[in-house]
Amino acid sequence: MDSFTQPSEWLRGVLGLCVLRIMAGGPTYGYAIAAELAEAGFGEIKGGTLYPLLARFEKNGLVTAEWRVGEGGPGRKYFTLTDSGRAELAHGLAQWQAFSTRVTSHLATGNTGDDLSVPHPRNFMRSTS
Amino acid sequence: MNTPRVQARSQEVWQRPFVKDHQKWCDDFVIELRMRDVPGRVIGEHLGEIEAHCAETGETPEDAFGDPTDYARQIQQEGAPERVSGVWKITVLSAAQVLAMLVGTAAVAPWARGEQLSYDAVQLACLGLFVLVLLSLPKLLSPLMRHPWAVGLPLAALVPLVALGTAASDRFGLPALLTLPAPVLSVGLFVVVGVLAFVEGRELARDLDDDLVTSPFASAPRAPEAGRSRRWMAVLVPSCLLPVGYLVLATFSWIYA
Repeated sequence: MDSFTQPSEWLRGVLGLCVLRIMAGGPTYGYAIAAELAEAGFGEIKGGTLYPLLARFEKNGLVTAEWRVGEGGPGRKYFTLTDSGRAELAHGLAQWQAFSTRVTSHLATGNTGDDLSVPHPRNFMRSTS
Repeated sequence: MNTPRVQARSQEVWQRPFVKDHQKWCDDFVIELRMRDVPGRVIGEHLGEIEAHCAETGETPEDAFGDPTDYARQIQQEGAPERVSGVWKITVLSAAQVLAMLVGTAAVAPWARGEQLSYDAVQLACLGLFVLVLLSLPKLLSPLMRHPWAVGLPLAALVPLVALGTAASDRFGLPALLTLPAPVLSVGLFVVVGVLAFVEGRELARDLDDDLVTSPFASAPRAPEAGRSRRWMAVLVPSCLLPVGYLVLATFSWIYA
């Protein structure tokens, strides 16, 4: 059942949206995004996962990038959300809300205090005509 | 293509301490992106991201980004579609020169004896095999770069094997299937090798000047002074190698014909 209940599998589908949401707060850089995601409870997002996503955003014009002098480090590449990025975020948020409502509604269907660990045989009505 | 050089310019990534500390990982990463014709400036940007990230997290590139080749493939697919022609163009030019040299120098001895260049079935098959290997270079290049000994030695061994095959077939006195005018081939293919070498030299010079793997962190580009002559050697030596080799082989073939 791991393939269905593994939160990392769920995160893969919405990571882009979560990163766009972080960037809506202003220009930011890779490590800060990873730290913010970890703080929000998404766990450790590796560089190998995060930077290809940022590269795709940049290629698709959702963000612009600029190198700035780092504090103690070699430098930082700051990403800034563009108007297209904001529009993509708004569109993604609307889609996610509709989807999550649908999933929540589906999971709650028939949830009348049944013990879900016990199978409940389904009665299909057979047509007799 | 850009590979680590002794006389690297100040803005090149090879002088970064981070790159020196993780040389193997960075080499594999750069090679894979070079094989995919990603421009040096873009490769430098990606290495800059990796260095900045590792500096903040304290991780090694292996820990944070995994296998360098896999990560290079991934970032190339997701990143900007800019491409340069360098690696493939130079490979194709070199392969064409080798083929021209093989046929052209083989025609020198018959020319010296006043004969035509003729190929029998075995010789044509050997030549075909060689052409097949050259045509497979796009597939072979990547493993060749990563495992030069394991892949390169069998390939290099193929050349004397083909030469032995063609020489041995002479003893069987097989009928000639293809006869070509030896003087025209010898001179004509030398001109072809010369022209291809010139184009290759221009490509290598362009690569040296315009397509370095530059770091976004280093100081502003400055005109290279020291090592300029050594850098030009990197252009002249590979591009002159085959025309010079052609002349040497042709001379020996003429003398011992």
